[in-house]
Amino acid sequence: MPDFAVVGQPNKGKSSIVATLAENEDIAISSKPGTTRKATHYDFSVDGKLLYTLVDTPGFQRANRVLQWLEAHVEDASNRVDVVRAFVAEHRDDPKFADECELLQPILDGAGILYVVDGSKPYGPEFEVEMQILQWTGQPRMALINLIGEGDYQEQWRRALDQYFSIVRVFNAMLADFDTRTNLLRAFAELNEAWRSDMEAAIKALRSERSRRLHRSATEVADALIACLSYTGQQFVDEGDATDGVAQSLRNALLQRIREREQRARQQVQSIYRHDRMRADETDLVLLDIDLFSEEGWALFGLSRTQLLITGAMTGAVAGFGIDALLGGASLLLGTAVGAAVGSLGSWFASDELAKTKVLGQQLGGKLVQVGPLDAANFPWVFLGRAWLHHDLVRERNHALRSVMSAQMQDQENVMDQIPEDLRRRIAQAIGTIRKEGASSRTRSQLQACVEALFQLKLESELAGNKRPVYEVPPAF
Amino acid sequence: MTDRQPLLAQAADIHQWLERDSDRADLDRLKRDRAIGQHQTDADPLKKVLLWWQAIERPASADLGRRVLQVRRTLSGLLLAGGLLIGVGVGSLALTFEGDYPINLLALLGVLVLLPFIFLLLTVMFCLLQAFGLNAMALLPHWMSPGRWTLDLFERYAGLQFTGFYGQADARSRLGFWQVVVFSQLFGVGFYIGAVLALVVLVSVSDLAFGWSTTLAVESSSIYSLFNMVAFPWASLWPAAAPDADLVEASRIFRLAAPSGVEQVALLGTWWKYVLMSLLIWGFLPRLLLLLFAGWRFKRATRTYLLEHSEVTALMDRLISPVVDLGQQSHTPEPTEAQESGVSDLQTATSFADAYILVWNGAVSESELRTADIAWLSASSSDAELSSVLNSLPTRYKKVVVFTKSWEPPLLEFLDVLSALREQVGKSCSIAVVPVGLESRPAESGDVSVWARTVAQLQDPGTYVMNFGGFTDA
Repeated sequence: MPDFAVVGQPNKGKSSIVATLAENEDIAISSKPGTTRKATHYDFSVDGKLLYTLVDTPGFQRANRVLQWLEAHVEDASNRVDVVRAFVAEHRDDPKFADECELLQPILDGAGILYVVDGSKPYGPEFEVEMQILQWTGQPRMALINLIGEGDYQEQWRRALDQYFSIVRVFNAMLADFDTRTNLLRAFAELNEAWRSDMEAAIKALRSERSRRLHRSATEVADALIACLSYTGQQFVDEGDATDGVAQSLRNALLQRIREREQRARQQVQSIYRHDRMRADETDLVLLDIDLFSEEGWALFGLSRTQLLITGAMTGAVAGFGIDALLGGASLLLGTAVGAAVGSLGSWFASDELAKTKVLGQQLGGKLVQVGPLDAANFPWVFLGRAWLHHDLVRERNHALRSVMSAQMQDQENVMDQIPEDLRRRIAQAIGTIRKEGASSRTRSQLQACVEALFQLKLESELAGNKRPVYEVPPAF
Repeated sequence: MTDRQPLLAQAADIHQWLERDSDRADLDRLKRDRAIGQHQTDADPLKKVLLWWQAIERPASADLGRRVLQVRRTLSGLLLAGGLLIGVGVGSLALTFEGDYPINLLALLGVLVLLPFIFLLLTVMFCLLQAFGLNAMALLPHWMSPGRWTLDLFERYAGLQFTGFYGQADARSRLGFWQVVVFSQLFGVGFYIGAVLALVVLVSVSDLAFGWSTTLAVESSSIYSLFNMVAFPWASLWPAAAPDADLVEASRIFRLAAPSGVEQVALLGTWWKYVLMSLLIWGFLPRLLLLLFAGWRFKRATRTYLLEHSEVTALMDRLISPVVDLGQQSHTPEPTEAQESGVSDLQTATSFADAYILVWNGAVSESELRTADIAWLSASSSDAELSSVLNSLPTRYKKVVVFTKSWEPPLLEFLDVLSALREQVGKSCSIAVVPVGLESRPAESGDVSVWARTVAQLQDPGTYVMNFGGFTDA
């Protein structure tokens, strides 16, 4: 199985690259140089079958001293590897060269070399010492130009690295998307023909795992939405007692329960994408922090009145068309027309109130105050819009990132504008059935498929505080 | 809990356990469940889940399934016993014979057989509705079935919900419906056992006389046909329990005739066999069959209820999905950031006229320095070059300024150079390390802080880091 030793000077992002490729948010990443003191192995395996290993190593600290030792002991080019081996053997217990021994040992054991530099900083000739040492090992080598800062010295670096490495790639550990990561793994395979099959198997497994995660996330979100649509609050009160206060407190409890359910779904999605340690406050951002029931949130994530009307009309038209089809067209598409009219009127006159309050008389005396379930037409869209944004951010977030998750949106932008009409209609149908009849296994599957299709869409947003005029907000909150 | 628990109890426990388990990290659950799934060869999803349930390590304190079973058994027992008592009571009342008038068979069969049979047919109709995919539970009124309100008690005391919209509403309502049928048929079976018991006891300890009477102008032959039709299932097997035309004719009673209007009183007692078989064949047997059928459907519904739960579908996914471990197994502690050195507290170097300048790794260009006393060293300098530079240091300076690239990390080999420099210049000379930013701009505070922390490792008060304020007179 191939091993890849990630080497380079301290603070060039070696651990970040390993964290991103290994999807390991536990790897220590710090601005303090020399955070990694021991070589750590990260195995990529599928069902326990090892496909490759990444080795995170300490950085070079005394490269010049090492090279001087090597040059002093070499006889000719044919025994350079043996000299490097001899150096490690002789200095294994020497604290002065502890870092060099740690990083050279995996290479001497057969690992391919991934030499990491920071392409946002200028190249300096002092780096050549390290490159020479790595060249002496004779192992397949690739250079990765990581971009930690804002500068761009890629060309400078490329000219220097091309002289020492067979492959040079630019790889931003913080921002690399899935395709970039798989392309990098493909490049690893180019270092040695014998590694190709394992690396191809790893890429295949990664793609399959990505599909699985998307499916699981969609299922979690669909189940959370179904649960939120089913929640009610009930309390018995005596015959003569006022119900307003009880209703208000039931309403507050209901909304809080829904908020908590949404938060739980988010945590599950984060866990599916291996972001378990992402702190709660990391999602408390400008957009995701907007309360589920706030005006801003409804304007940003909900459908506009027109969109609701069109979606209602389309859903009604499809139902009406079914009747027309049953009648073999004899109805002259009257069913479609009536269905569209009823659907659009239903959407137009749909209550903006979040959840209705019912006071029911009881056979044994007293009253039952019931709040919910939520029947505001826009709630499912707000919920799905938020889930879509959250999923998109989590899916694309690299594990090297330790900063809070951020999102910005252009003015006048609305998340739901990006959903195709057909998908919007399918979602509306599934939600309508669930609201009317409860969530059967079939409707649950339908909603899951819709959410999965939604999550497959790439959210085209640079989110940033919505300035859009607020058009409708449930008055109840 | 063992694998010999009924499926409903296991389903309740599995659901509850999985819901609690959902707080665990997804990867941990995947690894755990896939490890079990890899050893499963059976393709049947139910068997997969039950085998997983046996294999999983879990606390033995799960008690929801036990409670569900207890409540279900208690309610079933109460229904059976209640049915039995009511059957005995109704049967005894219906078979009351004071000796004046025989028991009217038409009334007896109407109460004990026909009316319950109509309810039975209605139940069968609801079963058909359910089989055709309708939510029969929602249509089934409480007044019609003792099982319906028993289900309410079951929900309340067992903690399982069969109604409600969440998740698998159809699976739950299906399960609930068949539970209602099971409950109500248990009551029915108990009722007929009681009625039959009452009949057998009364026949044994008293002399019952049966006849038939109606105000309607009905011929005996019509009634005979009716009785014969009722006796059709057993007439050939037990002819003595099927009436003949003479018996029917002889059993007609008129209440105004004295004393009973019947000539051959002894014949009237022979009807008890017919009544017994009517109760058994048209009352007890259909309910027993429906009970068995509903029990079978309940078991099937339980299977669906178990498998369609969202957490179980997720479990199935974990059992069959390969664990793709990208390297999450290695855990290293997050470093604790050292206390930031107060970069703002550092002095800013702007004048370098009184200092000897040492440039490390080409941190500044020669054109920017206007002093003659400069030395150049780098990470690739040899020991000889280093010695040469150090040995040629003028002794008149009280300060050496070392310019470094602020954006590069301070390496140990640089600290080696500082140590060698200190040895060369002695303790009275101060050594100021000045990290310079790109293109000789002031360095970023974060970078200076890193240099300050590293240089502080030397524990040499005379060696310190200064902020770079630009070149004015160097």
